[in-house]
Amino acid sequence: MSRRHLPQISKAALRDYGGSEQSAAVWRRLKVELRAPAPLERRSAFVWVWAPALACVLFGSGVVVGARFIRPQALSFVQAEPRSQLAPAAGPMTAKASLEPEPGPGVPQPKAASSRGHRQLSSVASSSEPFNLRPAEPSAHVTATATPIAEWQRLVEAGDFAAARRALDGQGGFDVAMAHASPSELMSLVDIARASGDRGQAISALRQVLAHPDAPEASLAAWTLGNLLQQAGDQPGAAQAFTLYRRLSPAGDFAEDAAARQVDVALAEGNAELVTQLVADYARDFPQGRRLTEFRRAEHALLHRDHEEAPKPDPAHEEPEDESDEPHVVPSAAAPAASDRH
Amino acid sequence: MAYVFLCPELSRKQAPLRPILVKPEPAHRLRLIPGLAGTELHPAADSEPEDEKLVARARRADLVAFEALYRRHAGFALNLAVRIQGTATDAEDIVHDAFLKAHEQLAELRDVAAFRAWLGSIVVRLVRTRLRRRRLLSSLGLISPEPIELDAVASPHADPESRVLLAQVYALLQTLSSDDRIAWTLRYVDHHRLEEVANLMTCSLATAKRRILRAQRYLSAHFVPAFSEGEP
Repeated sequence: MSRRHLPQISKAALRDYGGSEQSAAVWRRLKVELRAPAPLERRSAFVWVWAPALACVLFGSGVVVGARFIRPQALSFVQAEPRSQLAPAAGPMTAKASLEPEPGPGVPQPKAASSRGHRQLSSVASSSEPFNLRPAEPSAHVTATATPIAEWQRLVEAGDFAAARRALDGQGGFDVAMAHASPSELMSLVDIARASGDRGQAISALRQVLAHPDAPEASLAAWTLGNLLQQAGDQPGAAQAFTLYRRLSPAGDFAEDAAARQVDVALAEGNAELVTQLVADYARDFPQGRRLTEFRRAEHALLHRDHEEAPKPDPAHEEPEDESDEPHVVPSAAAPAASDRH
Repeated sequence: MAYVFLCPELSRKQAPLRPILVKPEPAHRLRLIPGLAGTELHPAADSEPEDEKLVARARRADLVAFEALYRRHAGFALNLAVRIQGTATDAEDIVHDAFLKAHEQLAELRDVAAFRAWLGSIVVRLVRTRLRRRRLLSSLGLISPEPIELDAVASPHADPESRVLLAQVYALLQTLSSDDRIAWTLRYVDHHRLEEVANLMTCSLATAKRRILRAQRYLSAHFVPAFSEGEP
């Protein structure tokens, strides 16, 4: 058998679907689908031109709004100190702590102490130190500890500062709670204020804690206040708070850091006299201090700079007494030394 | 019935074996008769600008222009799908999908005059995919082989000899591979030129010739004429 036997298939023998009902039916389906989506060219033009531009505008708007209107929020799950071992603040614990001897400046203190333990150790140091602050009112302290734990306190213990803030607002607000709070509760309020980003309220609460200098929380409050004031740009206030911390807790966990912060503030102010004094204190209290070398260099640089910047006498306006062979007195740094000699 | 040779160019023994140096003409260079309701891609120039204009307007989301393109080429696409498959099953879906794909990818068509050939290649690709899928499922026993619908392929006015011929040819085509079946159908059922077959199948001219020859040899070997010469 050969392909000779395969006949040709004529066109007339085949069905032609041109103009058939099938093609009309297909168009009815097709028309519905073609009307729905956007044209490909316009869609791709939108995707490649307008979509990136829109994304840039949205991103820029977000940056502007975030920078201007949104304050940084503290993470509620980050805590500097564990709060699970909190105990009643007043009474027996303070008395017990006051009986324990205060470790000397050279005696290292345990770094892993809980917040309550740290506050107790701080209170030991504070009990024997004189204070310039007004004395605490024991009635408020005792009254606060006698009352049952409020909802916001329970939430603070659970670490949910946002919910604690809401509960606090529902119970009269921050200021009302602060007016009748014990130092321990004030520290909880400080945590709430810091978590909600309200630095002013935190500072107010810390100042109120410092109104109770015998409270175990006082030294920690002074340290925290110094940090907040330094962040707020109040360098003199920060220096004062760090000084207070050192007085309340000379051998505390942050004593060296507080001394260093004092030097930092004095260096930032350019007060050579104060720098000299504070560096000397730092070297005396912490002879192996981590920043001692750094401070001595900074002190030297500051004194050298002040010496160079000292105004040289104008020969045209020199008084006859200045024409002597005596060397010029270096201001600031040399002045106290001269006065001391007298 | 007078039998004639189907493929004079393939009857030359050397033709399929000699190396084909001529590259297949790209689809965008084909000259078509857009208004022709028939099945061929005839070279012509008189109605070419109209297809170009319609495609240009359809690219600008002119649905009326695309409808005109559809009216013009839907018959061609349906004929192609039915004749390759040997059945009208899913032919409407194939044409629908082909025009939808053509509409989506209209911007990628470089030569708007080649719309018909381009559409045909889309239809052929869809039909081939369907044939392969059905063959796979059939070999796995998941579906039964698809029967030939003679009424879908043959004209109602076709003579009995032609109907018998079509029935036997399509029965033989079902046993061939999809590519060979499509190539032969395009060449001898739909009556496209070799270059057009290559373009519709998106393959080289040599490949198209090889497929056609393979199918032709098989059909010639197995075809049994129903009416002998001189028989009434």
